[in-house]
Amino acid sequence: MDIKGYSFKEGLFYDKDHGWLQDNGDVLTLGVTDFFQKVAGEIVFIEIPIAGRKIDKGQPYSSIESGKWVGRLKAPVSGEIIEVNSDLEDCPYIINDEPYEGGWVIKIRPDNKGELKELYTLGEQFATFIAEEEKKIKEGTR
Amino acid sequence: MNLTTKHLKDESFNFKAVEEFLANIPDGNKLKTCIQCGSCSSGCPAADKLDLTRRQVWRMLQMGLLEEAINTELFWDCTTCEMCQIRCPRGIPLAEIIIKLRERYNQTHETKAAMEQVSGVIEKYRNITGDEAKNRLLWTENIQGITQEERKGLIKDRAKVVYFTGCVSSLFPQSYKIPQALTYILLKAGVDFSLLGEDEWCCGLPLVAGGSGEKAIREYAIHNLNAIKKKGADTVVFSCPTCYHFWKNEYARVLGNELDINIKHYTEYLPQILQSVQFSYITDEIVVTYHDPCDLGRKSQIFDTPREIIKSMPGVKLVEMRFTKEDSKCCGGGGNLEMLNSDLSFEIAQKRIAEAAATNAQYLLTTCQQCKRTLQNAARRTKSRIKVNDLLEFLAVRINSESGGEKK
Repeated sequence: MDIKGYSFKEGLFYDKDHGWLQDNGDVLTLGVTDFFQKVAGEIVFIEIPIAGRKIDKGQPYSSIESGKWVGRLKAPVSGEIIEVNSDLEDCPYIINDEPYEGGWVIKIRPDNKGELKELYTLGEQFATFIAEEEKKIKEGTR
Repeated sequence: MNLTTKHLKDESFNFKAVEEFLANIPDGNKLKTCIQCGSCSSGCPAADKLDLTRRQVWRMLQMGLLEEAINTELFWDCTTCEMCQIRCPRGIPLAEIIIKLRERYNQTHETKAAMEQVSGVIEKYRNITGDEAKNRLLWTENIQGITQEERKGLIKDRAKVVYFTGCVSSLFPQSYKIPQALTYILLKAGVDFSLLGEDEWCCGLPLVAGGSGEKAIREYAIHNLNAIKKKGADTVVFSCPTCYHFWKNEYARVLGNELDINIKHYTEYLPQILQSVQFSYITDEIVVTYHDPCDLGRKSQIFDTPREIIKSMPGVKLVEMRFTKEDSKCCGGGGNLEMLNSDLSFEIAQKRIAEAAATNAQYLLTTCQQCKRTLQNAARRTKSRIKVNDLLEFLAVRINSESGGEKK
């Protein structure tokens, strides 16, 4: 689905920090959206967290660098990292090329799947959010 | 830049203004002895990309054309690597003159947007990225080979040694492996050390390089020094050669008194530790070359200890590049140039990568997180196969992790 020139994938959850989350039952896959990678530009480095680490909702679980910009990837829900995408260590640009497929970052076992209810799914509310974010970029306030 | 003289009037030749400008620089008057030999211009890593040469600006100053020199803006296209200064046969403090031209520019012109942004961020957040202070510890969450208890104990109330991590290593993920490696080695060696964490502030160098003047950094020096003294430490260790250079060579001058604390870059501090701990190492044969960071080499005169650490690792062969030690070419990442003119920064970096690749080494080692970032990005963009590492991360990988680093 296209919103304001950014592509979003059906069936995923989205958060306000431009991360996506796929519900695979006991395991959730996390990554960043097409909006995130387009705004960031060419990703030159991503920190690969250690599997087994706990992550807390709203707190950074990884950091990312693109040219002069540095950003933090924040956890949309709490849980434990069970798998990391080590391909990104040598090829971080996969996030630019395939943000929803090869560019996934971590897989986690969630503490409480009820937290998913607080996330966006594709729909009018999310489209409004993206439109506001895009406006902020054009105004230079984001 | 157009060097026509049509716009010059009698009042343009203001010798008094230049006299006053140079009077505020130690040995600044030596500029009058410049013989236009061009050694500064030819040594400049940016020389082939500039509209004017360095020496033309010095000549403008000699002729009393201060405003014309300011209007060249040539002093912004500078990594402050100090190659010009060491090549100058007259001993003219050219690097200091460049910084003072930046200050003068800020006093008479609208501050460069990039510099205003940097100084605004540092003044508000006390770091160069605008992160909240707690993010200074994000790098500690992914250190391989240490326990959760060890991680939680990285900030102590009291410690003999403080590891001053620096903004780039704390906040730019491409550099995280550097503080992670030093922390791992210090823990395995049983050193009584602490981080400052949220109490650490920027050393202040980006403010000085941005032309804010020395007064602007006094509060940074006082804060950082007090934070270290509060822990009862007698030694502060750095992995950032820029913070190290600034602490060692500038803080005492800014504060007006000696710091009464041992200031050590890790290449000075680690040899004794490595000897006493007797780590066991991976021994496969590998060829490396070494890039001297400007702040550690030319500005702090540390050339041998990094090479001694490299040579002490079994199986590691060091080959030198054409320009080394005091003659080492800059990586392109200093003096805020990456923020001001990223294209020029890249041009300089790719020349250094080409020089390193010509040695046929597998690794380009350095001892600076900013050199590592700049050179690694240039290697990636030019598709060079040479791997760029800080010596610390290379060392931590060579220490045999299967044996826990202990010699059997």
